Amino acid sequence: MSEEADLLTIGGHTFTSRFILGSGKYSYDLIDSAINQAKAQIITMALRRTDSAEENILNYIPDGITILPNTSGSTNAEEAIRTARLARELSGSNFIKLEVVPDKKYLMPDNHETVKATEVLANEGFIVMPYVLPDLNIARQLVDAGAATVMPLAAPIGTNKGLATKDLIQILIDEIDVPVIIDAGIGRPSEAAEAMEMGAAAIMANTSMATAENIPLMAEAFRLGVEAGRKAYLAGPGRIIERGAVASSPLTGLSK
Amino acid sequence: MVTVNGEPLADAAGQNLLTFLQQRQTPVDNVVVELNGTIIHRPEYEQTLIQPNDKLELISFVGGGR
Repeated sequence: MSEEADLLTIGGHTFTSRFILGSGKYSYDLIDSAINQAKAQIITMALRRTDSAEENILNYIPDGITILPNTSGSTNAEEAIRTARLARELSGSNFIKLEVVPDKKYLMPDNHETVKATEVLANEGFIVMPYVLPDLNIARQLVDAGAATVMPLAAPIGTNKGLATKDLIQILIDEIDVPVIIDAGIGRPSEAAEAMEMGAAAIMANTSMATAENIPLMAEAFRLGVEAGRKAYLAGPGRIIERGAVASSPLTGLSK
Repeated sequence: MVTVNGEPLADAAGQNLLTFLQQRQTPVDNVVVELNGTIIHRPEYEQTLIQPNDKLELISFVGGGR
């Protein structure tokens, strides 16, 4: 398969990058170099009440980058729907990263409310990318409701704990026909690579870069991890021998 | 009393939205205005006069992962 042919398609839009960046918890000055090093084509951002004293983040986003607004701060479907409508007015596009998070301690998404909001927003023409706790039945309901992707968490938001929900994510990858994009918890490029090897369609990361000492360098490392994992997935990983060993050198012709 | 993002703002009444935003130095490319729960589209700013008991929400994109 040629590299050009390996496109990520979300709601009819295609991307060559499989690494989605967050824009939180680091200086806007670093966004441009993080995007460049990540070769990211999508960046997510939040909506909040305007503070005229604050810098305008849009001035820091390079041309051609797709803005993926998120509904962070929403605690139920109704709030998320309102935020999504505001986001569409602001961004001029239908992309929405749907987050419904009533729980303040673990930041666990409310899967049920997320399905409700997905149904409403998809009917309004949004390209809905819901953030969920990985659950096959919920993922199926999201697809039925019109979700463009499913974005399961690997570990709680901001923890950098890696693929804590690995087995559940694998079920989604195996059974769900829309792109499964890993969101939240990925802490290291090796974990991004592992998720991509498993067949994830893309990785979304923020805190793992924002808390690194060198943000652009970590963005590059993640990009390489995502690319390596994707290529490995496409290559079809070799089998595992549970017991014993299998020589890779000829067993004949030995000189004694 | 007009409220803007939850705060009372007495002198906002009577202005049109565009003038109001410009005076606040709010970047018009990064704000969506919700007036009494309804989104006001950008081309409508100039003809929209703020009324004495209006509730305005001014929302912008900010950095945020999730």
